[in-house]
Amino acid sequence: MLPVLQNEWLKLHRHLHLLWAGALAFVVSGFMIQRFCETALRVYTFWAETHPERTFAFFFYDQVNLTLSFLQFLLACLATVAVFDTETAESLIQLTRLLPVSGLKVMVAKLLYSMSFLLMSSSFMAALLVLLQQPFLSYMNAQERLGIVELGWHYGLRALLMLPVSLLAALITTCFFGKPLAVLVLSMLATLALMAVPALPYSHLFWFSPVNAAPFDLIDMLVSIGWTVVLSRLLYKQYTA
Amino acid sequence: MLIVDTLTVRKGENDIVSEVSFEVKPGEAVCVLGRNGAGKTTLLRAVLGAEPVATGQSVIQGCNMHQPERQRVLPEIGAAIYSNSFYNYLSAFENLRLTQRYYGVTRFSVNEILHQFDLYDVQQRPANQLSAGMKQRLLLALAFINKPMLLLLDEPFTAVDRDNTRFILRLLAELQREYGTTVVLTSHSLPDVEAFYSRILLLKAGRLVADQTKDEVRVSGRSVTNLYDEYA
Repeated sequence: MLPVLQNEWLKLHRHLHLLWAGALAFVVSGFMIQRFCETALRVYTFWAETHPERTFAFFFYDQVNLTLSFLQFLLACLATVAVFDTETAESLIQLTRLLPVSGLKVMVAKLLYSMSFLLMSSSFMAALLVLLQQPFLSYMNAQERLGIVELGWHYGLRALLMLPVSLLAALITTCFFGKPLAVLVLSMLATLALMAVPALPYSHLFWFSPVNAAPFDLIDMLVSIGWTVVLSRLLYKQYTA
Repeated sequence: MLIVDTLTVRKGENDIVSEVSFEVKPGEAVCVLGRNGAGKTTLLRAVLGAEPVATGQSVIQGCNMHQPERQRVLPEIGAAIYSNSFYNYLSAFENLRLTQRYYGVTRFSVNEILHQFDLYDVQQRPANQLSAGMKQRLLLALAFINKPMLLLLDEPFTAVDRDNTRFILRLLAELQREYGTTVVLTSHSLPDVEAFYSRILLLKAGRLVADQTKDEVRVSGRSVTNLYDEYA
């Protein structure tokens, strides 16, 4: 198994720049600009109300939370792509026909790397969340703090749910299309579906929850998907040129 | 070494290879000739067990290549039967290292192979940036990295200039002389085959229509080209 793992790493290391370049490009892209514009608008609207410091704290927290969510999701998708883009169905078949190597072992090695990347990105995001939420805890009441804790659990749970769904989506598209973009898009959609649904039960715990209404999140998601697809396509074209 | 027994490969209603039988002895240089679509590539793939067969079998060193036992003999075979059986985004060095690990062999260092196949100077270049001749040499190097007893090559002279063709021919002759490697190759290039073969197999519409050794061809007073014109 060790030579197979070594070989998968050899294939994978060429794709790592795609992973980090994608994440960086995403952060500095229109998604962030759009998010900050929206934050400014919301802060301005609520400044007129009676709780300016709480308003600002929660909105800033909101930004951190959602940005990290999307970053986590993007890293997960790119990690999956990075692992599965190393092989098309055709190259895997050729490999196992020509060389004394088991296709099952190769797939297990890919899954191991993919899982490592997903867990690493999730751990990284969870740690950042814990760190960044500290300044805001003092502005919250007990119920809201409970909400934060639950949100932490929700992060972990989502990471675990992301794992099989992203992998399954990647596997299916790799087998049938062997195209990195197809893998990315399908993984994104699958992960997005996971992200959107489980977050809803916690929204009632926050006093500003009505502001966080679905249309805002939907716009966020659509803008993010658009930017991610465009950037991924550009990166992929540059990468394969 | 290799026994092919009434091998038939069927795709849909058509027999691409039809009841082909032959035997290859150790150290032979067998050239499979035939027009486009005669079934040469399919035959080579079926011999390795990389193509499902309708009837018959191919046995290498006592192992049926269409049964799981083929895994036992694969480490002793080198094959270049797909035009792109390397990773385009990896360098020549990395492709060789990768294949060497799969074989689990260290009989040659990768650098030694790079020198032998004249790829040392371009070892860091991604495979998709190599010229046609270099790609062909890389395919051969990958097929030879385990120092195989049997080498299966599909069209090794295609899209290769004269210099590279001569280089490949010289290399194959060297491999045979030094390691006793048995070579089975397909080709369209009759003059190149003339310089290398010890036995000719001629395929026509999937059927084996001629099987002659170099001596038999010589005694008959014909050349490979005459034989090709007559049967193919």
